[in-house]
Amino acid sequence: MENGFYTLQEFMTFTKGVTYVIMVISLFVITGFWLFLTGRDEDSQPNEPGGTEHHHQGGGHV
Amino acid sequence: MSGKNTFTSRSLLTPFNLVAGLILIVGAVITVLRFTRGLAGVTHLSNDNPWGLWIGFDLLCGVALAAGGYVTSAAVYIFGMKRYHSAVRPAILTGFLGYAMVVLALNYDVGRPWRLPYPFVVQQGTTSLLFEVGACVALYLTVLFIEFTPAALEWLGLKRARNLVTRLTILLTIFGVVLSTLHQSSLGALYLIAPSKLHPLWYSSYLPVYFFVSSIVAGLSMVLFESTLAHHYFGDKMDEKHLRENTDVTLGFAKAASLTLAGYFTIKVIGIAMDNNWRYLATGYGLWFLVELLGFVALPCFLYAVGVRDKNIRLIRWTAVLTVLGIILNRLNVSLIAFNWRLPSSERYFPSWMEIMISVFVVTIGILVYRFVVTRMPVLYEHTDYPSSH
Repeated sequence: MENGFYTLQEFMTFTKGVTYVIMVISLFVITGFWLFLTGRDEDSQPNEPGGTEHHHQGGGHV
Repeated sequence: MSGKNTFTSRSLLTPFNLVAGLILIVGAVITVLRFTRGLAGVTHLSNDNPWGLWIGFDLLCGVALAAGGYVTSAAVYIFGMKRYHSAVRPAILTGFLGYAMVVLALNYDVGRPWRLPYPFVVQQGTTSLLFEVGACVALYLTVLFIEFTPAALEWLGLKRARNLVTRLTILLTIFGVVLSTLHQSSLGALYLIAPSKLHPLWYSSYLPVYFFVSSIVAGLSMVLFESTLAHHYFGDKMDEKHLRENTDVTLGFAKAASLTLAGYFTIKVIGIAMDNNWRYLATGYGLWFLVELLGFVALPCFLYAVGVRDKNIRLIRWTAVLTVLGIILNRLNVSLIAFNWRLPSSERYFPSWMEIMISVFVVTIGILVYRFVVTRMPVLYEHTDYPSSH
Protein backbone atom coordinates (compact mmCIF):
# COMPACT_ATOMS: atom_id res chain seq x y z
CA MET A 1 0.00 0.00 0.00
CA GLU A 2 1.17 3.49 -0.80
CA ASN A 3 3.03 5.12 2.09
CA GLY A 4 2.85 1.92 4.11
CA PHE A 5 -0.38 2.85 5.90
CA TYR A 6 -2.79 0.00 6.42
CA THR A 7 -5.50 1.73 8.41
CA LEU A 8 -6.97 5.21 8.66
CA GLN A 9 -5.82 5.16 12.29
CA GLU A 10 -2.20 4.79 11.20
CA PHE A 11 -2.55 7.52 8.60
CA MET A 12 -4.16 9.97 11.03
CA THR A 13 -1.65 9.21 13.77
CA PHE A 14 1.24 9.87 11.40
CA THR A 15 -0.12 13.00 9.70
CA LYS A 16 -1.43 14.57 12.89
CA GLY A 17 1.85 13.80 14.62
CA VAL A 18 3.79 15.59 11.88
CA THR A 19 1.32 18.48 11.96
CA TYR A 20 1.71 18.93 15.71
CA VAL A 21 5.50 19.00 15.32
CA ILE A 22 5.16 21.64 12.57
CA MET A 23 2.84 23.70 14.76
CA VAL A 24 5.26 23.67 17.69
CA ILE A 25 8.12 24.66 15.37
CA SER A 26 5.88 27.39 13.87
CA LEU A 27 5.17 28.75 17.32
CA PHE A 28 8.85 29.44 17.87
CA VAL A 29 9.63 30.51 14.28
CA ILE A 30 6.72 32.95 14.03
CA THR A 31 7.56 34.40 17.44
CA GLY A 32 11.12 34.93 16.25
CA PHE A 33 9.83 36.37 12.98
CA TRP A 34 7.60 38.79 14.88
CA LEU A 35 10.59 39.98 16.89
CA PHE A 36 12.54 40.39 13.63
CA LEU A 37 9.63 42.27 12.04
CA THR A 38 9.09 44.67 14.93
CA GLY A 39 12.72 44.87 16.06
CA ARG A 40 13.22 48.40 14.85
CA ASP A 41 9.72 49.77 15.42
CA GLU A 42 10.88 52.51 17.75
CA ASP A 43 13.33 53.83 15.15
CA SER A 44 12.40 57.02 13.38
CA GLN A 45 11.83 58.11 9.80
CA PRO A 46 12.26 56.13 6.59
CA ASN A 47 15.30 56.53 4.41
CA GLU A 48 15.25 59.72 2.47
CA PRO A 49 16.27 60.39 -1.15
CA GLY A 50 19.61 58.96 -1.88
CA GLY A 51 18.64 56.14 0.40
CA THR A 52 15.71 54.08 -0.60
CA GLU A 53 12.61 56.23 -1.12
CA HIS A 54 11.88 57.95 -4.41
CA HIS A 55 10.40 61.24 -3.29
CA HIS A 56 9.86 62.89 -6.64
CA GLN A 57 6.37 63.99 -5.59
CA GLY A 58 7.35 64.88 -2.07
CA GLY A 59 6.14 61.67 -0.52
CA GLY A 60 3.78 58.91 -1.40
CA HIS A 61 0.22 57.95 -1.17
CA VAL A 62 -2.08 55.08 -0.60
CA MET B 1 -6.88 72.27 -3.05
CA SER B 2 -8.88 74.42 -5.42
CA GLY B 3 -7.00 73.17 -8.39
CA LYS B 4 -7.36 69.54 -7.49
CA ASN B 5 -10.82 68.92 -8.78
CA THR B 6 -10.47 70.64 -12.11
CA PHE B 7 -9.65 68.23 -14.88
CA THR B 8 -7.05 69.75 -17.12
CA SER B 9 -7.71 68.83 -20.70
CA ARG B 10 -4.71 67.64 -22.63
CA SER B 11 -4.25 66.06 -25.98
CA LEU B 12 -6.07 62.76 -26.19
CA LEU B 13 -3.42 61.34 -28.52
CA THR B 14 -1.13 59.96 -25.83
CA PRO B 15 0.53 56.54 -26.19
CA PHE B 16 -1.61 55.21 -23.34
CA ASN B 17 -4.82 56.42 -24.94
CA LEU B 18 -3.88 54.99 -28.32
CA VAL B 19 -3.10 51.56 -26.88
CA ALA B 20 -6.22 51.65 -24.71
CA GLY B 21 -8.33 52.72 -27.70
CA LEU B 22 -6.96 49.87 -29.78
CA ILE B 23 -7.72 47.37 -27.00
CA LEU B 24 -11.26 48.73 -26.69
CA ILE B 25 -11.87 48.37 -30.44
CA VAL B 26 -10.57 44.79 -30.54
CA GLY B 27 -12.50 44.00 -27.35
CA ALA B 28 -15.70 45.40 -28.81
CA VAL B 29 -15.33 43.24 -31.94
CA ILE B 30 -14.72 40.09 -29.85
CA THR B 31 -17.69 41.03 -27.66
CA VAL B 32 -19.92 40.99 -30.74
CA LEU B 33 -18.46 37.62 -31.73
CA ARG B 34 -18.96 36.24 -28.22
CA PHE B 35 -22.65 37.16 -28.13
CA THR B 36 -23.40 36.16 -31.71
CA ARG B 37 -21.39 32.95 -32.04
CA GLY B 38 -21.53 31.81 -28.43
CA LEU B 39 -18.71 30.55 -26.20
CA ALA B 40 -17.50 28.04 -28.77
CA GLY B 41 -16.88 30.82 -31.26
CA VAL B 42 -14.29 32.64 -29.18
CA THR B 43 -13.05 30.30 -26.45
CA HIS B 44 -11.26 26.99 -26.04
CA LEU B 45 -13.63 25.95 -23.27
CA SER B 46 -14.94 22.38 -23.32
CA ASN B 47 -16.78 19.90 -21.13
CA ASP B 48 -13.42 18.92 -19.61
CA ASN B 49 -12.53 22.57 -19.01
CA PRO B 50 -15.75 24.52 -18.55
CA TRP B 51 -13.99 27.17 -16.47
CA GLY B 52 -11.15 28.91 -18.25
CA LEU B 53 -9.27 32.16 -18.16
CA TRP B 54 -12.34 34.29 -17.52
CA ILE B 55 -12.95 32.42 -14.27
CA GLY B 56 -9.31 31.80 -13.34
CA PHE B 57 -8.08 35.32 -13.97
CA ASP B 58 -11.00 37.72 -14.24
CA LEU B 59 -13.05 36.26 -11.42
CA LEU B 60 -10.67 34.54 -8.98
CA CYS B 61 -7.83 37.05 -9.33
CA GLY B 62 -10.24 39.97 -9.65
CA VAL B 63 -12.06 39.16 -6.42
CA ALA B 64 -8.83 38.46 -4.51
CA LEU B 65 -7.12 41.63 -5.68
CA ALA B 66 -10.22 43.69 -4.93
CA ALA B 67 -9.95 42.67 -1.27
CA GLY B 68 -8.18 45.92 -0.42
CA GLY B 69 -11.57 47.53 0.13
CA TYR B 70 -12.67 45.38 3.05
CA VAL B 71 -9.16 45.05 4.48
CA THR B 72 -8.56 48.80 4.58
CA SER B 73 -12.01 49.81 5.77
CA ALA B 74 -11.90 47.14 8.49
CA ALA B 75 -8.50 48.39 9.65
CA VAL B 76 -9.67 52.01 9.80
CA TYR B 77 -13.30 51.81 10.92
CA ILE B 78 -13.41 48.56 12.94
CA PHE B 79 -9.89 48.37 14.38
CA GLY B 80 -9.63 52.14 14.74
CA MET B 81 -6.39 52.60 12.83
CA LYS B 82 -7.25 56.15 11.83
CA ARG B 83 -3.73 56.87 10.64
CA TYR B 84 -4.55 54.83 7.54
CA HIS B 85 -7.66 56.86 6.78
CA SER B 86 -6.32 58.37 3.56
CA ALA B 87 -6.00 54.85 2.13
CA VAL B 88 -9.71 54.07 2.46
CA ARG B 89 -11.19 55.82 -0.56
CA PRO B 90 -8.60 54.64 -3.10
CA ALA B 91 -8.98 51.11 -1.70
CA ILE B 92 -12.78 51.26 -1.85
CA LEU B 93 -12.63 52.58 -5.41
CA THR B 94 -10.19 49.83 -6.47
CA GLY B 95 -12.38 47.25 -4.76
CA PHE B 96 -15.56 48.54 -6.36
CA LEU B 97 -14.03 48.64 -9.84
CA GLY B 98 -12.49 45.21 -9.27
CA TYR B 99 -15.85 43.67 -8.42
CA ALA B 100 -17.60 45.56 -11.20
CA MET B 101 -15.09 44.14 -13.68
CA VAL B 102 -15.62 40.67 -12.20
CA VAL B 103 -19.34 40.94 -12.87
CA LEU B 104 -18.68 42.33 -16.35
CA ALA B 105 -16.36 39.41 -17.14
CA LEU B 106 -18.92 36.98 -15.74
CA ASN B 107 -21.36 38.14 -18.40
CA TYR B 108 -18.92 36.87 -21.02
CA ASP B 109 -18.27 33.59 -19.27
CA VAL B 110 -21.79 32.54 -18.32
CA GLY B 111 -23.51 30.79 -21.21
CA ARG B 112 -26.75 32.70 -20.75
CA PRO B 113 -25.80 35.86 -18.86
CA TRP B 114 -29.34 37.21 -18.87
CA ARG B 115 -30.06 34.48 -16.35
CA LEU B 116 -27.58 35.86 -13.81
CA PRO B 117 -30.41 37.32 -11.66
CA TYR B 118 -32.23 33.94 -11.62
CA PRO B 119 -30.79 32.81 -8.26
CA PHE B 120 -32.42 35.84 -6.66
CA VAL B 121 -35.78 35.85 -8.38
CA VAL B 122 -36.50 32.41 -9.87
CA GLN B 123 -34.71 29.60 -8.10
CA GLN B 124 -32.41 30.10 -5.13
CA GLY B 125 -30.43 26.85 -5.12
CA THR B 126 -29.34 27.60 -1.58
CA THR B 127 -27.39 24.34 -1.28
CA SER B 128 -24.97 25.51 -3.95
CA LEU B 129 -21.74 27.30 -3.11
CA LEU B 130 -22.18 29.23 -6.33
CA PHE B 131 -25.41 30.66 -4.94
CA GLU B 132 -23.53 31.92 -1.91
CA VAL B 133 -20.74 33.35 -4.06
CA GLY B 134 -23.27 34.97 -6.40
CA ALA B 135 -25.31 36.43 -3.55
CA CYS B 136 -22.24 37.72 -1.71
CA VAL B 137 -20.66 39.26 -4.80
CA ALA B 138 -23.92 40.95 -5.75
CA LEU B 139 -24.45 42.28 -2.23
CA TYR B 140 -20.83 43.29 -1.73
CA LEU B 141 -20.74 45.11 -5.06
CA THR B 142 -23.75 47.05 -3.82
CA VAL B 143 -22.03 47.73 -0.49
CA LEU B 144 -18.89 48.96 -2.24
CA PHE B 145 -20.97 51.17 -4.49
CA ILE B 146 -22.70 52.77 -1.48
CA GLU B 147 -19.38 53.06 0.37
CA PHE B 148 -17.95 54.95 -2.58
CA THR B 149 -20.93 57.24 -3.18
CA PRO B 150 -19.78 59.93 -0.68
CA ALA B 151 -16.90 60.77 -3.04
CA ALA B 152 -19.26 61.00 -6.02
CA LEU B 153 -21.82 62.98 -4.02
CA GLU B 154 -19.15 65.42 -2.85
CA TRP B 155 -18.13 65.84 -6.48
CA LEU B 156 -21.75 66.46 -7.47
CA GLY B 157 -22.27 68.85 -4.55
CA LEU B 158 -25.11 66.84 -2.99
CA LYS B 159 -24.27 67.60 0.61
CA ARG B 160 -27.35 66.16 2.36
CA ALA B 161 -27.26 62.88 0.51
CA ARG B 162 -23.55 62.62 1.14
CA ASN B 163 -23.98 63.19 4.89
CA LEU B 164 -26.74 60.60 5.00
CA VAL B 165 -24.58 57.94 3.36
CA THR B 166 -21.60 58.78 5.58
CA ARG B 167 -23.67 57.84 8.65
CA LEU B 168 -23.88 54.29 7.28
CA THR B 169 -20.09 53.86 7.17
CA ILE B 170 -19.64 51.50 10.12
CA LEU B 171 -22.69 49.43 9.17
CA LEU B 172 -21.46 49.07 5.59
CA THR B 173 -17.96 48.21 6.76
CA ILE B 174 -19.18 45.39 9.01
CA PHE B 175 -21.49 44.11 6.28
CA GLY B 176 -18.62 44.26 3.78
CA VAL B 177 -16.26 42.31 6.03
CA VAL B 178 -18.89 39.62 6.66
CA LEU B 179 -19.69 39.28 2.96
CA SER B 180 -16.01 39.22 1.99
CA THR B 181 -15.19 36.57 4.57
CA LEU B 182 -17.98 34.45 3.15
CA HIS B 183 -17.33 34.69 -0.55
CA GLN B 184 -13.53 34.93 -0.56
CA SER B 185 -13.43 31.57 1.21
CA SER B 186 -16.29 30.14 -0.84
CA LEU B 187 -14.38 30.74 -4.06
CA GLY B 188 -11.79 28.29 -2.73
CA ALA B 189 -14.52 25.97 -1.50
CA LEU B 190 -15.82 25.71 -5.08
CA TYR B 191 -12.82 23.50 -5.84
CA LEU B 192 -13.52 21.12 -2.97
CA ILE B 193 -15.83 19.29 -5.35
CA ALA B 194 -12.91 18.34 -7.60
CA PRO B 195 -10.39 16.32 -5.54
CA SER B 196 -9.70 14.03 -8.49
CA LYS B 197 -9.09 16.90 -10.91
CA LEU B 198 -6.99 19.33 -8.87
CA HIS B 199 -3.41 18.33 -8.10
CA PRO B 200 -3.05 17.10 -4.47
CA LEU B 201 -0.52 19.81 -3.64
CA TRP B 202 -3.11 22.49 -4.39
CA TYR B 203 -6.15 20.52 -3.32
CA SER B 204 -6.82 20.62 0.39
CA SER B 205 -9.81 20.65 2.66
CA TYR B 206 -8.33 23.97 3.81
CA LEU B 207 -8.79 25.58 0.37
CA PRO B 208 -11.44 28.00 1.71
CA VAL B 209 -9.02 29.09 4.45
CA TYR B 210 -6.19 29.48 1.95
CA PHE B 211 -8.32 31.63 -0.31
CA PHE B 212 -9.50 33.82 2.54
CA VAL B 213 -6.09 34.34 4.15
CA SER B 214 -4.41 34.97 0.80
CA SER B 215 -7.15 37.47 -0.06
CA ILE B 216 -6.05 39.55 2.95
CA VAL B 217 -2.49 39.51 1.61
CA ALA B 218 -3.80 40.34 -1.87
CA GLY B 219 -5.83 43.25 -0.53
CA LEU B 220 -2.93 44.71 1.45
CA SER B 221 -0.50 44.29 -1.43
CA MET B 222 -2.93 45.66 -3.98
CA VAL B 223 -3.40 48.81 -1.89
CA LEU B 224 0.39 49.23 -1.84
CA PHE B 225 0.66 48.52 -5.58
CA GLU B 226 -2.21 50.82 -6.46
CA SER B 227 -0.73 53.56 -4.26
CA THR B 228 2.57 53.28 -6.12
CA LEU B 229 0.84 53.74 -9.47
CA ALA B 230 -1.40 56.53 -8.15
CA HIS B 231 1.62 58.25 -6.64
CA HIS B 232 3.43 58.06 -9.96
CA TYR B 233 0.63 58.98 -12.34
CA PHE B 234 -1.73 61.06 -10.19
CA GLY B 235 0.70 62.62 -7.73
CA ASP B 236 -0.59 66.08 -8.66
CA LYS B 237 -4.08 65.08 -7.46
CA MET B 238 -2.93 64.28 -3.93
CA ASP B 239 -3.20 66.60 -1.01
CA GLU B 240 -0.77 67.08 1.85
CA LYS B 241 -2.61 64.67 4.15
CA HIS B 242 -2.39 61.83 1.65
CA LEU B 243 1.27 62.48 0.96
CA ARG B 244 2.04 62.80 4.68
CA GLU B 245 0.24 59.60 5.68
CA ASN B 246 1.75 57.56 2.88
CA THR B 247 4.80 56.36 4.77
CA ASP B 248 2.70 55.18 7.72
CA VAL B 249 0.30 53.39 5.40
CA THR B 250 3.09 51.71 3.44
CA LEU B 251 4.97 50.51 6.52
CA GLY B 252 1.80 49.47 8.36
CA PHE B 253 0.34 47.54 5.45
CA ALA B 254 3.69 45.92 4.66
CA LYS B 255 4.01 44.74 8.25
CA ALA B 256 0.50 43.31 8.20
CA ALA B 257 1.14 41.64 4.83
CA SER B 258 4.41 40.14 6.07
CA LEU B 259 2.82 38.63 9.15
CA THR B 260 -0.20 37.35 7.21
CA LEU B 261 2.12 35.79 4.62
CA ALA B 262 3.99 34.04 7.44
CA GLY B 263 0.70 32.61 8.68
CA TYR B 264 -0.32 31.68 5.14
CA PHE B 265 2.99 29.89 4.57
CA THR B 266 2.51 27.96 7.80
CA ILE B 267 -1.00 26.76 6.99
CA LYS B 268 0.09 25.79 3.47
CA VAL B 269 2.81 23.56 4.97
CA ILE B 270 0.34 22.17 7.49
CA GLY B 271 -1.97 21.37 4.55
CA ILE B 272 0.79 19.27 2.96
CA ALA B 273 1.40 17.50 6.25
CA MET B 274 -2.28 16.79 6.93
CA ASP B 275 -2.69 15.06 3.56
CA ASN B 276 0.80 13.55 3.66
CA ASN B 277 1.61 14.97 0.23
CA TRP B 278 5.36 15.31 0.78
CA ARG B 279 6.17 12.80 -1.94
CA TYR B 280 4.64 15.05 -4.61
CA LEU B 281 7.21 17.76 -3.89
CA ALA B 282 9.86 15.78 -5.77
CA THR B 283 7.81 15.83 -8.99
CA GLY B 284 7.53 18.47 -11.71
CA TYR B 285 4.32 19.82 -10.24
CA GLY B 286 6.01 19.74 -6.84
CA LEU B 287 8.79 22.00 -8.09
CA TRP B 288 6.19 24.36 -9.52
CA PHE B 289 4.38 24.30 -6.17
CA LEU B 290 7.66 25.14 -4.43
CA VAL B 291 8.22 28.03 -6.85
CA GLU B 292 4.85 29.41 -5.76
CA LEU B 293 5.33 28.70 -2.07
CA LEU B 294 8.94 29.83 -1.73
CA GLY B 295 9.18 32.43 -4.49
CA PHE B 296 5.81 34.11 -4.09
CA VAL B 297 4.93 33.50 -0.42
CA ALA B 298 8.09 33.00 1.66
CA LEU B 299 10.23 35.46 -0.32
CA PRO B 300 7.76 38.40 -0.22
CA CYS B 301 7.12 37.62 3.45
CA PHE B 302 10.83 38.07 4.14
CA LEU B 303 11.23 41.07 1.80
CA TYR B 304 8.27 42.86 3.40
CA ALA B 305 9.86 42.27 6.82
CA VAL B 306 13.22 43.62 5.64
CA GLY B 307 11.46 46.59 4.05
CA VAL B 308 9.63 47.34 7.31
CA ARG B 309 12.78 46.97 9.40
CA ASP B 310 14.85 49.18 7.11
CA LYS B 311 11.88 51.46 6.34
CA ASN B 312 12.73 50.84 2.72
CA ILE B 313 9.64 52.09 0.88
CA ARG B 314 10.94 51.16 -2.56
CA LEU B 315 11.61 47.56 -1.50
CA ILE B 316 8.11 47.33 -0.04
CA ARG B 317 6.55 48.58 -3.27
CA TRP B 318 8.43 46.07 -5.41
CA THR B 319 7.51 43.35 -2.94
CA ALA B 320 3.86 44.33 -3.35
CA VAL B 321 4.22 43.71 -7.10
CA LEU B 322 5.79 40.31 -6.40
CA THR B 323 2.99 39.43 -3.99
CA VAL B 324 0.25 40.46 -6.41
CA LEU B 325 1.90 38.27 -9.08
CA GLY B 326 2.02 35.45 -6.53
CA ILE B 327 -1.70 35.71 -5.83
CA ILE B 328 -2.42 35.66 -9.58
CA LEU B 329 -0.14 32.64 -9.95
CA ASN B 330 -1.89 30.84 -7.09
CA ARG B 331 -5.36 31.41 -8.53
CA LEU B 332 -4.24 30.34 -12.00
CA ASN B 333 -2.57 27.26 -10.52
CA VAL B 334 -5.74 26.21 -8.74
CA SER B 335 -8.13 26.96 -11.59
CA LEU B 336 -6.07 26.16 -14.69
CA ILE B 337 -2.49 24.93 -14.36
CA ALA B 338 -2.88 22.25 -11.70
CA PHE B 339 -6.48 21.54 -12.70
CA ASN B 340 -7.07 18.44 -14.84
CA TRP B 341 -3.40 17.68 -14.29
CA ARG B 342 -3.91 14.02 -15.16
CA LEU B 343 -5.22 14.78 -18.66
CA PRO B 344 -2.79 14.41 -21.58
CA SER B 345 -1.45 17.71 -22.78
CA SER B 346 -3.50 17.47 -25.99
CA GLU B 347 -6.66 17.66 -23.90
CA ARG B 348 -5.46 20.37 -21.56
CA TYR B 349 -6.97 23.83 -21.74
CA PHE B 350 -5.10 26.82 -23.03
CA PRO B 351 -7.02 30.05 -23.57
CA SER B 352 -7.61 31.35 -27.08
CA TRP B 353 -6.18 34.73 -28.02
CA MET B 354 -9.72 36.13 -27.93
CA GLU B 355 -10.20 35.00 -24.32
CA ILE B 356 -6.93 36.70 -23.41
CA MET B 357 -7.98 39.84 -25.28
CA ILE B 358 -11.30 40.01 -23.45
CA SER B 359 -9.44 39.78 -20.13
CA VAL B 360 -7.14 42.61 -21.26
CA PHE B 361 -10.21 44.51 -22.47
CA VAL B 362 -11.91 44.19 -19.07
CA VAL B 363 -8.78 45.28 -17.17
CA THR B 364 -8.38 48.24 -19.54
CA ILE B 365 -11.96 49.36 -18.91
CA GLY B 366 -11.24 49.20 -15.18
CA ILE B 367 -8.11 51.33 -15.55
CA LEU B 368 -9.91 53.90 -17.71
CA VAL B 369 -12.81 54.21 -15.26
CA TYR B 370 -10.32 54.52 -12.38
CA ARG B 371 -8.56 57.33 -14.23
CA PHE B 372 -11.86 59.04 -14.99
CA VAL B 373 -12.89 58.92 -11.33
CA VAL B 374 -9.63 59.96 -9.64
CA THR B 375 -9.14 62.90 -12.00
CA ARG B 376 -12.55 64.28 -11.05
CA MET B 377 -13.71 63.07 -7.65
CA PRO B 378 -12.12 63.56 -4.23
CA VAL B 379 -10.43 60.19 -3.95
CA LEU B 380 -6.76 61.08 -3.63
CA TYR B 381 -7.50 64.29 -1.77
CA GLU B 382 -10.10 65.60 0.66
CA HIS B 383 -12.83 67.87 -0.64
CA THR B 384 -12.42 71.33 0.86
CA ASP B 385 -16.02 71.29 2.16
CA TYR B 386 -15.53 68.02 4.09
CA PRO B 387 -12.11 68.02 5.76
CA SER B 388 -11.55 64.78 7.71
CA SER B 389 -15.27 64.25 8.15
CA HIS B 390 -15.70 60.89 6.47
